[in-house]
Amino acid sequence: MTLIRTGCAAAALSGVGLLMLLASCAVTGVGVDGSVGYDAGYYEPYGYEYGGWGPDYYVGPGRGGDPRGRGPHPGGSGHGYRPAPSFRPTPSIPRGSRAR
Amino acid sequence: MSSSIRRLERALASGLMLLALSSAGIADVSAASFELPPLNSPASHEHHAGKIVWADLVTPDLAAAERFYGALLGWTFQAVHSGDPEYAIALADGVPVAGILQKPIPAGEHRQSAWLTFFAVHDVNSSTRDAVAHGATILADTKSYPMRGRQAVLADSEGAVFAILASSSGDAPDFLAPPNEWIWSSLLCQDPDTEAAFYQEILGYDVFDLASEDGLTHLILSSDNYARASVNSFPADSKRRHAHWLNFVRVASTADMLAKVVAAGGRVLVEPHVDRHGGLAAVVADPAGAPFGLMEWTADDSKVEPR
Repeated sequence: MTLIRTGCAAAALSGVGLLMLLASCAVTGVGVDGSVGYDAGYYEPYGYEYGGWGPDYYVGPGRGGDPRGRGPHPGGSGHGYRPAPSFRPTPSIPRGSRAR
Repeated sequence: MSSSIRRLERALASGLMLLALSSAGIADVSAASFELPPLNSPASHEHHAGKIVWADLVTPDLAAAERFYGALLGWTFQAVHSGDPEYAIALADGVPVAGILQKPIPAGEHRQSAWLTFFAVHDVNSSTRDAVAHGATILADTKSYPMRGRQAVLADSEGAVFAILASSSGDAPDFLAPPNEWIWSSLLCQDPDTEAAFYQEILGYDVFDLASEDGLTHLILSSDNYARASVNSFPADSKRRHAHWLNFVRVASTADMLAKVVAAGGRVLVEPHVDRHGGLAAVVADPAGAPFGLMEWTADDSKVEPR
């Protein structure tokens, strides 16, 4: 009985080892965009016609202290953000140079 | 009986050896797999969740991308992996600023090259779980690159693709981006309120709503009391209705850069206009169609010091 159990354990151990070895061989050949390589490249749906941006269409940061707006849209989806307190001035981007 | 035991002992020993070899093999593969350089060298001890710390371009032609961005921004390139596909690090004045991944466009698909925006997080696994709980889709599951850090690629509920990264070398201290480096990122989307709530949940932003004259929503996402990015309704007559992140490079002169873009094979998508801070901004595309922005910014444009 003991011999049978030991034999099964040895066979199982060999099987696991063989599977792991095969797996390690398999991943060796995967390139940059495979699951083992670098997989951060995603093409966007085609189409880059942005249309005209009106004179008041601003996407950049302000210089700090820019006037606040209306807050989350009252008739929105109900998944609105929590606005920063109104007493806080709108921040700008960092200033100062990179230390090298 | 004793010979049976010896046979079993030998089988057990060979099984253990196979297990050890295979473990070593996997460890070697892990160590020898695609190796990315650190974002910061020397390492920073700072962490700035929500800060945009990296961008990767996916393109079908790495050499063409290098020619374009090299001519336009003076970037130089360092190959990280040779073979097919390939990846290179772009350096501005010797500092790593971006990655360029060459990858074929899937056969039969009408897709376009794009820049992928990376946001700093403390814990990629936890942020990924939060993102999924709030409607995100995992495009590339969490994965570690020993020198760069742990990252994942996700799409938000409107389909805008972004990445999160816990950098092994910390996050760079905050400073004003020098010319020819990334200075800003904007999300263009259908529902800015919901999108801002999503990014607030996973990245901990403070959200500032801005007064606007165009009747559209413009929001600022902030961390460490610095503006990190904006979330904006699509322009009223925009033909591109797919939500996406748009990254801006700081330039000395938008007008001069536009001429260079066209000369190098790119195209102008949005003509220069004066943006909120008073400098000119424009949107262009590289020869493979990847859109990105150009933004002028003078050194004295930030007037409110963070607390």
